[in-house]
Parts: sequence; C-alpha cells; structure tokens
Amino acid sequence: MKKILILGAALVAVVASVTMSASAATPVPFPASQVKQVFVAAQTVTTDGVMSSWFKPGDSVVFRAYAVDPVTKKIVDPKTVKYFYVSIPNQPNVKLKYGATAPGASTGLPWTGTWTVPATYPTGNVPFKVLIQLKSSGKQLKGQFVQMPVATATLNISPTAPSAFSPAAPAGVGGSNNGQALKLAIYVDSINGTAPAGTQARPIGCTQTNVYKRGERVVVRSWGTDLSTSDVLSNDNVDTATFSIPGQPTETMAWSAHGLVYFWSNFWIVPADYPLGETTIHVTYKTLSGETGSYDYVINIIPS
Amino acid sequence: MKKFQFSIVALAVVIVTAVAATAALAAAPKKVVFAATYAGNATTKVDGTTATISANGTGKGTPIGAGSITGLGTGDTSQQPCIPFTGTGKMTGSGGTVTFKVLTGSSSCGDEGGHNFTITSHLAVLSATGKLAKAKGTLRMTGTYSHDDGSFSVKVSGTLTK
Repeated sequence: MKKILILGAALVAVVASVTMSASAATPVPFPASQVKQVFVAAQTVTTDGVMSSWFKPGDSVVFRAYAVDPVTKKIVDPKTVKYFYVSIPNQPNVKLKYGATAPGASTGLPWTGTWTVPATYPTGNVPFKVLIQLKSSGKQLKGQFVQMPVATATLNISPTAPSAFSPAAPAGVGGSNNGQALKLAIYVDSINGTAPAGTQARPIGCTQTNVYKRGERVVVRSWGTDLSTSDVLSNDNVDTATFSIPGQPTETMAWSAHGLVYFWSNFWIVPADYPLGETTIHVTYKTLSGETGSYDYVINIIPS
Repeated sequence: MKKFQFSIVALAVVIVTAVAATAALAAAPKKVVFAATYAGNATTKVDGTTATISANGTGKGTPIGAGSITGLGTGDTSQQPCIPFTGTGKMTGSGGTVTFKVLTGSSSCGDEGGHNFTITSHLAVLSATGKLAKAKGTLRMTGTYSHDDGSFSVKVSGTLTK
C-alpha cells in the first residue's frame, strides 16, 4: 500500500511538473511564424500623409503599402503585379495604384488607394486585409497583410474620432533599399504611448501616428522576415534589433508580447528641446546568420 | 659529402614541417555545437527596484543530454519594458555539467500588462565537465517567462571551443 502511495505521489508530481512546463507562454509571432510568399505591409493615412488609425464617417482613408517579391527580393512594381487591393468587409475592394507622388504615397510605400468612409458605416474596428498576387511565371505568388491586433491601433471608424496631429513629414524611402534586392523585408510604424508625467495625454492611447509633440512617448513597432528562409524575425533568428534617432542614444528593440502576438518594439520620449521638424527613426536588424536590413521611418516633431 | 649535407637539410625540413603541422593540429580548437531546451518554473521576489530571481527547469540537449537547469540572479525593475538581469547558473545532464554567468546586456522584456516576458541573454561558460570538459565560450539563451504562473521555457545554443 505504501509503495502504491509513493508511486501515486510521484505520478502526481510528474503530471504537475509537465503541466507547469506546458503553461509557459508560447510566442505567437506577428503575422505568423513564416511569410512564405509575398511580404506585404500597409498602413492608413490621410490624403496628406498623416498616419492615423481613427477616422470619421465621410473621411478619406488612404491605404499605402509596399510588397516584396520573394524571388527577386525587390519591391514590386506594376510590371510584376497581377492584383493588389484592399478588402474591406461589406465594401467594394479598393484597388491600389503605383505612384510615389500620389496623395499619401512615398518612395517606400508607393502603392495607394483611397476609401471614402460611407456616412452610414458602423462605428468600430475595420478588419481590412491587403491582398496581392504577382504575375510570376508558373507560380501563383500571393501575399496578405492584416493589422497588428492592438485594438486602438487598428483602423477604427467613429463619429467622435479625434483629429490626428498634423502636419506629417514625407514618409521617405522606408525599407525600399533604393530599389536594390533586400535581405530582410521590414515594416515599421509608431503609436502614441502612455503619456509621460507632465505631458498631456491624447484622447485615445496607442493610436497610429507619425506626428508627435515634444515630451510625448513614441512607441516604435516593427516586424519583418528573413527573405532567405521566410522566417519572421524573432528572438530565434535575430542577433540585434535597434533604432537610432539623430542626436539620441541608440535603443535596443525587444521582441515581446503585445496582447495576442509578439513583435519588435521599444519607445522614445521626445526630449523637450528636440529640434522641431522631421526626423528619421532608423531601424536596423542583424540576424544570427549575419544578414542585415534597415528601415527609415520618418516622423514630424511639432511644438507642445 | 654534398649528398650527405643535402640529406641533413632535407631531414631538417621534414622535421620542422612535421613539428609545425603537429603544433598547428594541437592548436586548432575543437568546436562543440551546443543546443538545449529547458522548461520549468522561476520565482521573482521584488524588493524596491531589485528582483531576486530563482529558476529551476528540466530539459535536454546536445551534447549535454537530459537533465536540468538552475539559476540565481537579480534584475533591475526600474527599467521598463526590458528588465536587465545578471546571475549565475548551471546546466546538468547525463553528458556533463556547464556552469555559466549571465552576461551584462541580458534582459527580460514584458508586455503592457507585465504578464508575459521574452528572455534574451548571453551566458559565458565558466566551467564544464564530461563531454564538454574544458569547453569555453558564450551561449545564447532565448525564451519566454510567464509572470502569472512562473513558468518559463528557454533555448540555449551556441558553439563552444575546447
């Protein structure tokens, strides 16, 4: 009987140990463990390039995007694209057109399309997708973009949506690598983080924006893929991930949990004496296999 | 006489070459690829801005075999969202034991609610036994930690020399 009790206790201990081990958080990389075909990244801006995730019925939402051909490892242009559009529930598709000088577009995000929010469009989150297919011979290379699942940073329609800070600076080259083949495909954006002491909080926290007042907290968010393996950049394959801003110390980015998913982020508080005007957040990744990639993300600093 | 001199020179060349080759072979460090995964529980006790960390887990790897990992350390919770930490620890397996020191630059980064953390760390090998005897170098440790239930899961990998 004693033996049975000991065996039973041992079994319970083993089961408890296995249960505890299994409960360790399993990272869910955004958007997936791998991007097997076409890398697609997109964001929403006003017609003058002000990034925002909150719009009112009747507003014009400009979707701007870029995509990377997994074969040539270059940013796709009209010669290689079969279709590239935004799918919005219960709305006609918004076709994306190529042109870096179009309203809201930039060299790094040259594909744009505009959606005028219907006056009767319901309040709430808009779970749009951006879909692409390339004209590749033999292969049907497709890609899809979905928003990071951070509720206030996704596209929201509300009659009381706060006005976004403006004006924006031109978005610049992004991760285009000046048209050369890429090693890593990268996306970067930013949201307003928790207001530091002495700084006025925005009406809604964690909304996408590329315009900041001095003293505000800029939360830089990023994700990407290693184009040689299709693996999403994570702690498993990245040696260092950093961002640098002129005149500021280089910051290390962390691959960490944000709600349901993991991506790279860190924050920067705009110093009270930081020069007004546009500045570039230079995001750099170095992988364990030695590949490097970067993305230049432009923000505008306005007076407090 | 000339033939004899030539032979002496040739012999000397052969000897020097042999010695140099032997020395080169002896000097060439042997590389040992290390890869292991562990899971277990960690406790953190925060006093002011210092978190005292104690971790225990089990797992397996190559060439260390099945076994356990233990660690003790401290973290600076005044820094957010990534808490730098240092400490020492030991991995023990059927193939040997590795004691290590957590290098500066290691950190654990939490989510907005402080529930789930990622771990990024470099471990300097202080000593090793068994199949890893005399192995030196640095290992990379990455993984996750749940502050809610204390569970952690890590991968430890790298190439050591001996």
